[in-house]
Amino acid sequence: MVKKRTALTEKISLNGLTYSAVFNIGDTKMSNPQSRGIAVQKEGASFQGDDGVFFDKYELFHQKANWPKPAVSMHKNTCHHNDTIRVNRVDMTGVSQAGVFQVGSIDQVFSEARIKHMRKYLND
Amino acid sequence: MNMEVHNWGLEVDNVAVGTVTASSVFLIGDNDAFVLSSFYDTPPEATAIGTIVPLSG
Repeated sequence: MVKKRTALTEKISLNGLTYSAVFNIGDTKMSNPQSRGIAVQKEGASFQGDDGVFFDKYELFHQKANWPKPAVSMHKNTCHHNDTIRVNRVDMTGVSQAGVFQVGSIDQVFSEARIKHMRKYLND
Repeated sequence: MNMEVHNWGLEVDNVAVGTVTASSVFLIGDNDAFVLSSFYDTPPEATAIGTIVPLSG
């Protein structure tokens, strides 16, 4: 494993962190965030606890992800001439749905998100 | 296959990002491997008509 550089940031502004999102300062070996969600946009202000919307009912949540084949093994030689990555300021509105925002090295990330939007109209 | 990488230096001033979402990564640092998958389904394909009982009157 190649030696990782130090990440140095002066100022970070982050507004929101939601739905299996990660914001990390420091080094990580592995991250495996997963998120699934259904956003229902509905006509008319009629809301009940149960809208009859379930993950199992939709094909999107059953389909197999098209993961790439494992990479061909190769020999890589990395030479860090400066061991610090500097970023002055980061302004971010939000991190959501299995997203990752990290300051520091990270070996591996396997993440998966499934989001379904739908609109429900009233009958005329 | 052989590959040689030289990281001479990396200095960035200001970064402004809207949102990092649906299995995306914003990283300040080094990494080895990322495998990210995202499924997204949105109207008009996802439009459902006539499944809601209208309010009376």
